[in-house]
Amino acid sequence: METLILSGVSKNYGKHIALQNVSLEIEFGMFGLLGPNGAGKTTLMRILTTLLSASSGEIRFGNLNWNEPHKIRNIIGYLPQKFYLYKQIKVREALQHIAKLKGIQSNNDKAVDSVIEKVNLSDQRDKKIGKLSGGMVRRLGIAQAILGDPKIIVVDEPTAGLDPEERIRFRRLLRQLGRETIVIISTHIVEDIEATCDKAAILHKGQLIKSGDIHTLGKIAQGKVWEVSVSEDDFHSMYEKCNVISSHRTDNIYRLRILSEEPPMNAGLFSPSLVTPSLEDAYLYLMNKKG
Amino acid sequence: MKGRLNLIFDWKAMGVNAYIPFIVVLVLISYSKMKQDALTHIIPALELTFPVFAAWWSIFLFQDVVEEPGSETLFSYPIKRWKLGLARVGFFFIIYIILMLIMLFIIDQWLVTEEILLPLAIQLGTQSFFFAGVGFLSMVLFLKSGWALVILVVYTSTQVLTRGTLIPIVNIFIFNQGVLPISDLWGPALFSVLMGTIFWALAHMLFLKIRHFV
Ligand SMILES: Nc1ncnc2c1ncn2[C@@H]1O[C@H](COP(=O)(O)OP(=O)(O)O)[C@@H](O)[C@H]1O
Ligand SMILES: [Mg+2]
Repeated sequence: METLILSGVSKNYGKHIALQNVSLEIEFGMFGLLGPNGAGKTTLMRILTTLLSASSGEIRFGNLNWNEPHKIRNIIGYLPQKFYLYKQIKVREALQHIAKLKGIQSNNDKAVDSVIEKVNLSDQRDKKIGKLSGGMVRRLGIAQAILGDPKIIVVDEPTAGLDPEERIRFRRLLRQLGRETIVIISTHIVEDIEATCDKAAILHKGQLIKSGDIHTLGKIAQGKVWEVSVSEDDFHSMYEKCNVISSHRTDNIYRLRILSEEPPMNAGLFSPSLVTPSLEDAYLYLMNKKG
Repeated sequence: MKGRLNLIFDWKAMGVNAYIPFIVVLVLISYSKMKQDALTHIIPALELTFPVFAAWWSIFLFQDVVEEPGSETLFSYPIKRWKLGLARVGFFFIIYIILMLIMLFIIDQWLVTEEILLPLAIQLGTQSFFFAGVGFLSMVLFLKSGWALVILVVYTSTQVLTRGTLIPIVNIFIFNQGVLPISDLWGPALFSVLMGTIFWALAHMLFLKIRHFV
């Protein structure tokens, strides 16, 4: 199984540096790229899909190199952050057209029907794209990306604009794809990654801060995440004094998750306890540190 | 894999916009019928209307390719960019010329007595070539069909209102009220083709380089 290798990839838009010396190895399965808005995720996705060329650095996959973009386009499937084309056209017809644009020669119709089934749009195949719901359009987006069985699938902000139910469905679909190919998603939503990816990297201001297994990424915040239980009165003052990540209420007791280098002031009913950090904790910790 | 075009699909994807040039032709034929034989009316009506609409398909062919959310996806497919650009504009321009020949043939046969087919085909055909290039270029420059249409309207209305004196260097209208002898047509026809070629070439080169995505 080939590995996608990025070495020292940089990109500037004029004077603005959008990506700085990004090196990564991405293996078979789901890979998540996590970062706040403006981190350079979309820029990296567009470089991977050959829409933009890197200002410097190299990208390779097996014996393919990104300096020959026409070859790369045969092995890439891409779903950008927004995808809403051909509103006048019916689902199946649009996909048949895209199959032609992609140059799928044999069994065009069969390939189209199989992706329609995969993304669960069989009931909508004769509906105009303009009439689909947001979640369906997103699934159609995946259908066009996976047409032609690309080896690398790139999905930018997979769940943007979806309601909670559609999100869960869409994540399930992504996870299925990750069993067959390399799937790279970029997102600012930690949950997207926790729910779908085995490995991830955190990008901030164009720089790669950390990458690895999502369980090991959590360890970055080891010893910095605390849990305290407080009464309603203390709840508000704790919120002001500490860096509270989340809170849960049971009866009149609030359980707070706090990010802190030192144990938080013992205002609670019980003394604060260290907890095993999640990816979200680690992400927030890194973003806090970087400002 | 090598991507292929599907021009019937492109036609459908334009929706109602695909039909506008046909409506224009129907209107022009009806107008010519109304003005039976009055070439002083018919020729200006044809010249100021028909070539401009050659830009129509050039513009709307690119709505899905540059303007709609996610149109960048098309550039990630293994189809060559010139096929998505120049090839499609060229094909639809040929259809437009065929449409023009049909229109002129009908007018020539049944609505006027003078021989108009060849001279008007040369005049309107070359002017249409110019406008197809204007549409292609303004779409590639502004990436918005709305702006491309504004350019078209501003160009045409200023040229027509000032009778081509505002920016004479890019005026391609002849403002003739009768059929010109072929020998008088070569000059203006060549000029339209020259300007048109510049626009087509520029649009083609810029299209290959589009790096700005919505
Ligand atoms: N075409 C462009 N021209 C100039 N700057 C750009 C362009 N595209 C993105 N940027 C800038 O590059 C940075 C990274 O953007 P982007 O890759 O879209 O980040 P993300 O997807 O993580 O939000 C941002 O500061 C953005 O303003
Ligand atoms: Mg983005």
